[in-house]
Amino acid sequence: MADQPVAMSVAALEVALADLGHHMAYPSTPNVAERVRHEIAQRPGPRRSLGTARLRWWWQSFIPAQRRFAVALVALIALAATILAVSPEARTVVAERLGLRGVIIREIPAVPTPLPTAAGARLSLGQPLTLEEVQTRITFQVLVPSLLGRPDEVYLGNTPPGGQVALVYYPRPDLPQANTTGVGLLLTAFQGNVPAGIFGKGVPPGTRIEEVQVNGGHGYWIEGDPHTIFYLDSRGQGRTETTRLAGNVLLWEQNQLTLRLESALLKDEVLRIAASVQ
Amino acid sequence: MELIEDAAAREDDGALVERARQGDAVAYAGLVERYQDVAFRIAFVVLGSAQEAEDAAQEAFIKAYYALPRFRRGAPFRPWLLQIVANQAKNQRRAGGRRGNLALRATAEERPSGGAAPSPEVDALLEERRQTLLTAVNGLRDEDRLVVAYRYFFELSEGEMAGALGCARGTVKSRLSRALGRLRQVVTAAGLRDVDRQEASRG
Repeated sequence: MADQPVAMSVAALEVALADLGHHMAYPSTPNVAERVRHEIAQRPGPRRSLGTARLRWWWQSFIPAQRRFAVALVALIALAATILAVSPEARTVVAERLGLRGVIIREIPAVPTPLPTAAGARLSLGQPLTLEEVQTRITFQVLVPSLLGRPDEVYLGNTPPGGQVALVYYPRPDLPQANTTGVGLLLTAFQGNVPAGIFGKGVPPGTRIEEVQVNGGHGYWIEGDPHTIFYLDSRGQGRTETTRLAGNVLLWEQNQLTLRLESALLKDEVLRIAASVQ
Repeated sequence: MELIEDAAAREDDGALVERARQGDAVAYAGLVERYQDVAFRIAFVVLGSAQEAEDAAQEAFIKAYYALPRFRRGAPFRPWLLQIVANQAKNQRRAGGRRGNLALRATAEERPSGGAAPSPEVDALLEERRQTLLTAVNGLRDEDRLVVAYRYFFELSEGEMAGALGCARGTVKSRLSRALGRLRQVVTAAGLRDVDRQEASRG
C-alpha cells in the first residue's frame, strides 16, 4: 500500500488549477492601445466615416504638429480634472480603466481605521457582512459558539454551493494566534458531508486523527502537521481546500452542516467550545 | 477626443463595435483599452515572452480592426477577439521556436499588509504544491496549455471558450477533459495528489 500511486481526483485538480490561476505572475501589460491607435490612424479604417475624416483634417490643418500634443495634453488634463471633480460616474470610469472594475470611487469624510486583521482577504473567506446580513442570504441557520460570544468578523463565501459562513475571532488571552490562519479562531460552516472513511486509509506522518462525537454528530479531531481538507459539497462533489493549510482542526457534522473549527487550542478546549455551538 | 473616449468606456461592446465598423477609431480604442490586459496575458501564455506577447497583442488588435466588417452583429466581441489573439500568438510561436515558461508570483508580493501572516512553513508547502502543478502545466502541449488557461486562469465560460477556440461547446468539453487527463497523469507521476489520499497511501 505504501508505494501504491493514487491519482489526484479531477475535482481536486480543478480546485488546484483555479488557485494556481490566482497566483500566476504576468509581466505588466504594455500600453498596446496607444500603438494600435497610431497604426490604424495611418491607414483607412474598415469603413471610415466622412465626419471622422473631416475632424482629422481640421485638427491636422489648423494646429501645427509640434503644438498638437501640448494642446491636447493641456486640454485633457483640464477636462479630466473638471470631470473627476464633479462627476461620480467619471470617477467610476477611471476606476474601471485602472483595472478596478466593481470599485466605486467616492468621497468619504475620513479614512476608516484599518481592521486589526485582514482575515477575509488573506484567507479568501468571501464577502464581509454582519451576522444578521449573512442569515438573510443563506438557507441554513448560522451557528455561533455561545462560549465565545459574537465573532469579530463574519464572511459569506460563494463556494461550496449554498454558501460558506466564516466566523473570525481575533487573538485574545483565551484564543492564542494560530500560525495557519493568523487569527485566534476560525469557524466555518457549509452544507455538505465529511466523507466517511476518507481518513480511514491511513494516518499521515506527523498528523494525528481521532474520531469524536460533537453535539450528537460524528467528527474528527486532527492535529499535528499542516494538511489540506477534503470534503463533499451539497451536490456530492468532492472538493479539496487548497487555498491554505490547516493546523489543529475539529471537523464535525451538525444540523446537516459540516463545521470546521481551526485554532491553536488543544483538543479538550476545542471540544468545549464546539459543544457550545448552537 | 479623450472625453469621448471616457464616455465610450461606459458603452457596451456591441455599440462600440458598431461605431468602430463605421471607421470610428476612438470607439475602437475604447475596445482595445478594455481588452488589452486579457489579450496580452493570453498571448503571454502562448509565447512565454513579454516582448513577443506585446507584439502579438498589438498585431491581433490591428487585424481585428480590419476584420470588423466580417464580425457577426450581436455576437460577443471578447471571444471573437481572443481567437484572433491566440491565432496570432500561435503563428508567431511557430515562427519563433521555443516557448517560455509561466511563473508564480513571489509569495512576498501577495501578502496584504496589515494582516498576521501564516507561518513560513505553511507558505513553503503551498508554494511547493503550486510550483509542482505549474511545472506540469508548462510541460503540456500548446493546445492543452491554452485550453487549461482559458478555463482556470482566465475563467472563460464554456460558451466563451467555444468562441475563442472556434469550436462547438461539446468539443470544448472533450478538449478540456483530455487536457485535464494528461495533466492529471503528469501531476500524479510528480507526486502531487489530493493530500489526504497522498498521505493515506503513505500510511
